[in-house]
Amino acid sequence: MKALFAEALRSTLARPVSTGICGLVVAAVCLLSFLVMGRTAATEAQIARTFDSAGTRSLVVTDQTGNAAIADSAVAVIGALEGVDNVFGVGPAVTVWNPVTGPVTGQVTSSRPLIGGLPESAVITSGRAPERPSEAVIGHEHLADLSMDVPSGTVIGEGTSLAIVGTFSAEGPLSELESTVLHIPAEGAVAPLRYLYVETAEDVDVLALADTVEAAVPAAVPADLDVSVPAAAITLRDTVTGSLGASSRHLMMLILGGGTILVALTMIAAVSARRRDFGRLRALGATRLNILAHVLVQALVAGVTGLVAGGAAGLMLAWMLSGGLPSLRFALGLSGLILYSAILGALPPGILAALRDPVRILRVP
Amino acid sequence: MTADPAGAGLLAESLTFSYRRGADVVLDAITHAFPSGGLTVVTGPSGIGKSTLLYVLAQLLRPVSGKVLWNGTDLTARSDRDRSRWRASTASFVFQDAMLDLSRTVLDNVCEGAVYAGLPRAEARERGMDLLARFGVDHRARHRPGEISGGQAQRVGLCRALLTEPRVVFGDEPTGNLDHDSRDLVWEALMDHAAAGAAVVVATHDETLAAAADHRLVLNPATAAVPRGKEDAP
Repeated sequence: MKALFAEALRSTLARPVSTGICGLVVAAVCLLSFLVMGRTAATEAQIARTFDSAGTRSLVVTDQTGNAAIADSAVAVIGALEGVDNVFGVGPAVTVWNPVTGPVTGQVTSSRPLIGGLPESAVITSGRAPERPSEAVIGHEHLADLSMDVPSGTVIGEGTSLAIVGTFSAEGPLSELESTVLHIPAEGAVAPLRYLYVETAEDVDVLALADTVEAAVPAAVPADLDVSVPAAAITLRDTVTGSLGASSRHLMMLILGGGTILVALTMIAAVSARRRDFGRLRALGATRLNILAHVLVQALVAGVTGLVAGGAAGLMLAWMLSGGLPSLRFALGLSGLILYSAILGALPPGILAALRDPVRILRVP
Repeated sequence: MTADPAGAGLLAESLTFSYRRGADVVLDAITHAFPSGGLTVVTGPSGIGKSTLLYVLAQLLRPVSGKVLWNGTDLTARSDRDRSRWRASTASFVFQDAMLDLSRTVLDNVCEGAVYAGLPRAEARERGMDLLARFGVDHRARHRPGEISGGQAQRVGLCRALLTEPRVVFGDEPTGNLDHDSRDLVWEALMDHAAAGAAVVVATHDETLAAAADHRLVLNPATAAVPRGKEDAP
């Protein structure tokens, strides 16, 4: 079998023109598929990211009355739930001000203790994240509220003194926290949480998870809890990405279907050019399966060559045009599908060549 | 090549063949022996079925009725795969126009059938070079068929046919397109191979060569075999 495959491979490589033409067809199909599908997939991912940045993967548990008394252990409890990517909580607010200027009339800035650390989606824009008790950050656009130009200084409030060490920026529901000083509470300080921010993993049913979270939050008065979910945005995201995905899948089927037909036609031409070769091989003892193997090996070589060339060009173009690349899983899946199409396209002419009467071929002058 | 036992060889038994159902019968109940150790020529006018008989004997065509026996074993009853394997291991062809693969080298062409006969590539190439040297075309081993003459191409085709030391060689007008020197060389090679114990069956129009053959089968216009020649009997 190995010797037969090697012989078929040598025979294929001895026909660079016909194999190359088949390879070019596969490369064109591949390039088109990666260009269209890669661009669509990248666009789809970009749209999903845009929606996610608006909070479609977030849910917020709120103590509506201040009496629900969410335990600070809620961060660990909810963080252990399946499908939860990140969770943090903030406690009750106290008013803080810059001791240099004193409280400014009409300008109230609050500070809240932060339990669980800042999520990755809250980006530090200057300075650093708070690491030790009494270190704090504030939204970068609200640093001026504390009469500061740089995130370095102290703010004080009722029985508290905090060191501002950085500023941050956030999107979605977290953006509401930008006007608030978030600080690490002193060790041992226990205060009920007022808000619990939960970020879910990708591909999680956020609406279903919200019910689980609501049931799991340790609180003295669970009835006072409110779990807010951006349901409309989630529905819109699913609709948009779903429609985009369906549309691109249809397009891919069309491209692959057309590509399979093109490969089949090219292989028919290649097989026709080798009619006498196959007739001679049959006379020399090749079985019908051997002939089919010759055709399929040629298709395989053309397919792999076209896949490498067309795939590289398609991915590069997709990246240049959309600034993104499809996932490795998607690229490998599409590559496998294209190779499968090339082999599938070569199967009918291969079978025809194998079944052809060798004598009719040998007797053609 | 090991010689077959006495009385061995190919035997056509009541072979009848037509290309399509209801079409003219090309071969009509031909019974004839093609013994090992001898060269049998098949002669007759053009279109009488000489090549067809070769293809039926070589198991490339199935007869409508009758049998082809190889050393007493019925080949016609076998599957297509088994008949292909028989050709690969036991038989070989020399075609009128050499039928070389234009995209591969002369040596590759010579070794082309080896893989189907299970001959290792290295051994096949060694044997191939020996044969090319024997027929004076070893200096063309790396050339493509388009770079050699018709006579050289036919010698290459002969090398390919002899590579696996086949016990049966079919020649379909193997000298038809050759000059005298090349014709004699090919013919002598086939005679030598027959003398070494093979059954060699050659369809030819060349009366000079036919006269030199060990056996002769004449196909007449009535599509029945009329055996004639040194040893043939009805």
